[in-house]
Amino acid sequence: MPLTLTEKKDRTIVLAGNPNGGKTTLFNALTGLRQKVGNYPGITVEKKTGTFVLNGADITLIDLPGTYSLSPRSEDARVAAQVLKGEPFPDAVLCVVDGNTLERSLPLVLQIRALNLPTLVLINMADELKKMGTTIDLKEMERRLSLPVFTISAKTRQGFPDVKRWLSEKLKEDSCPSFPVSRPHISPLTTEDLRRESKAIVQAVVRNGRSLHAFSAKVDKVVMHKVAGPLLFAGVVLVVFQAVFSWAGPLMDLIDETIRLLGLGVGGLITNDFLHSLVVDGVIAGVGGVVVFLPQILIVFFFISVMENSGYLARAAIVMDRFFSKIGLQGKSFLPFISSYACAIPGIMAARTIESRRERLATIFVAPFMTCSARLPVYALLIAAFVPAVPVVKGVIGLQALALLALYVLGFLAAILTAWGFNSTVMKSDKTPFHMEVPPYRWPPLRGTLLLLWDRSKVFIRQAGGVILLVNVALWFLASYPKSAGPEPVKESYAGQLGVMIEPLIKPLGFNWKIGVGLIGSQAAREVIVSSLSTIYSIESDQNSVALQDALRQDLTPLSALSLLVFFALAMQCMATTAVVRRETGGWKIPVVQFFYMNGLAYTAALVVFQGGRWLGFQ
Amino acid sequence: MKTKKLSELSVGEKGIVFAVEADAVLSDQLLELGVGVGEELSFYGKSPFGDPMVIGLMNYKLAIRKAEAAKIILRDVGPNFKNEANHATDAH
Repeated sequence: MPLTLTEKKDRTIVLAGNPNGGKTTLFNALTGLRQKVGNYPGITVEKKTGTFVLNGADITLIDLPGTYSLSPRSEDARVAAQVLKGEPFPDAVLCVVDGNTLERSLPLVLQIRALNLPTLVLINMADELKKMGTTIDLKEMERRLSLPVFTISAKTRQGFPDVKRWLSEKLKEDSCPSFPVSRPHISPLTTEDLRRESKAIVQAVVRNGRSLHAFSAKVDKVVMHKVAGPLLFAGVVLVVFQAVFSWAGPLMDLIDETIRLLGLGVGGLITNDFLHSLVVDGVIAGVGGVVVFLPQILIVFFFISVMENSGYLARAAIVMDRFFSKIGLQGKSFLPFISSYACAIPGIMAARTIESRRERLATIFVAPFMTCSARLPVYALLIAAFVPAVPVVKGVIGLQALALLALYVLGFLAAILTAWGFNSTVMKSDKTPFHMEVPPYRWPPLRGTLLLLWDRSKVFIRQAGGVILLVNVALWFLASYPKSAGPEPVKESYAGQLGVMIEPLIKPLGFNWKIGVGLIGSQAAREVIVSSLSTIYSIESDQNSVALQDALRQDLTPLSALSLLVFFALAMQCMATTAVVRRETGGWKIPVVQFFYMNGLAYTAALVVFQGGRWLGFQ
Repeated sequence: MKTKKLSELSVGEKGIVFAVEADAVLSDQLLELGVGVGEELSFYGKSPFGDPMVIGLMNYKLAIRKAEAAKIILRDVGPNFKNEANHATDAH
């Protein structure tokens, strides 16, 4: 039975288009801060939605993954096709097309046209087209497509009022309900048909100006150069690592000081011993111990976002393809890997662009080895406690940044060796094809970058105020009770007993029961080890705040700290990632094997480091 | 007619696709990206280690492995005077 408009409460508009077409920039421009990530109904695939207001009503906007066609060859295209063809039908489709690459983009538009949904074609990059002197005959294009066509610039917001006018008219048409959409059975279009029609349209409507690629060609002379290219990449990496330690410093001090004052201020107000300890030791010391690392995490996200949006990562992916193809991965694996340096979850989802299932699974399997931002607090804390802050090359790079870099390299090597091992044993197969668009260099959209940083801050704070807070309050309770008058009250608490219980297992790695308590907590999320140690030390000391680094030096030797770092570099301690791997691979097999493989490797490597180090005479 | 594989082109040369000797799936994938019979392709530049190669077509750039490029047969191969890679060092 067809639904009437009044029964249908949510209005949904879908954004579709090729990768690199500016779809996400338009999405960000329209929705701003009102974005969220959720699941598509029926299919368990994450989608990006946002809302914007049109004539006083909230409209839902769905940002589809960028694809070249609706033929379900990659996971991304499958998702796009499912949303466009599935129910409930979207109320309108905005087809975003890069005006510079009209001929390659039109086949997708023609496929979407065949779905008979209310569709508006948006020729994006109007500012670039004007600069290059390219003109498009819109009237003729509309006639040939039988679809309305507008030019816009998602970057400069040119043409937005026209789009909104069109949308409000489409969504108002009460006389013409959107259900049921008539979909006459048309013979499926072959790729060759689509190409022929696109070519004819482009020949009739486009007058090409100067090429957009002239500037990119100059930049590529350096970036894709045999010597200069890798040197530049190394330089970029060094800047990122140095920035994580030096730029973040002042902000971190500020947060640290605020938390300390908060602890003192709030602590002074609470006279009840129980509440005082809960708030000061459990909440402020624990959560504060993690929140302080936010600036460093944002710096990592910032650099990755700029590299991706400028077109630099695409080049790096192409360069890496030659090497990756030898170990059962491919150039497109590079983007998921770099994303995983921020967080493995978007990284694993970014593997959807890889057409070959085997290469996609291999990419997903090793991606969590990349040093995600949750490992950063652990690394930063231990490095600050055990590695002196001295410059290696004065003014360029310090020893601490270099130590951090070494840990990042360790994770990367573990991923590469794992992929290589699998490729030469269980997952052996022939090379699959690889081809990838090389977008022109563009300035990364400032708005998009800021939105990302804002979003990541929210996620991080929510995590700190959610999972970490809960685990920590539980830990505070377990570490405070039963009350004991002995010399080591925490050791005799429930948490202490638990730590003592697993001590035989972790002693060979150089960890005592306190680290053991932190390790148990870190199974929920890696950064919990920082908050739980912070709480334990806070309960132990009578003062309101303790220097976490000083306390750590009591419990770890430099060698056992190194062992702990190696353990964290290799271990799989993130339930959220395991859940996403299960969803993306469609079963428990890969996540379970991954969990035991990574943790087994972490334990073995830490054991080798600690015992080997001792044998060599290190402390 | 004289033909040449795409993988045998030198940087700055172009040609017109004469045939794509790949299986149906790969042919269709390439066609979606514009690599089909009659299309003009130019060799834009090599990646630092020689493979993949970057080609220009339909006013955009595509990276493609040499193994795949060897399946694309070109006709009318000759120098590409419009190639931006050549122009990049020119005064304008």
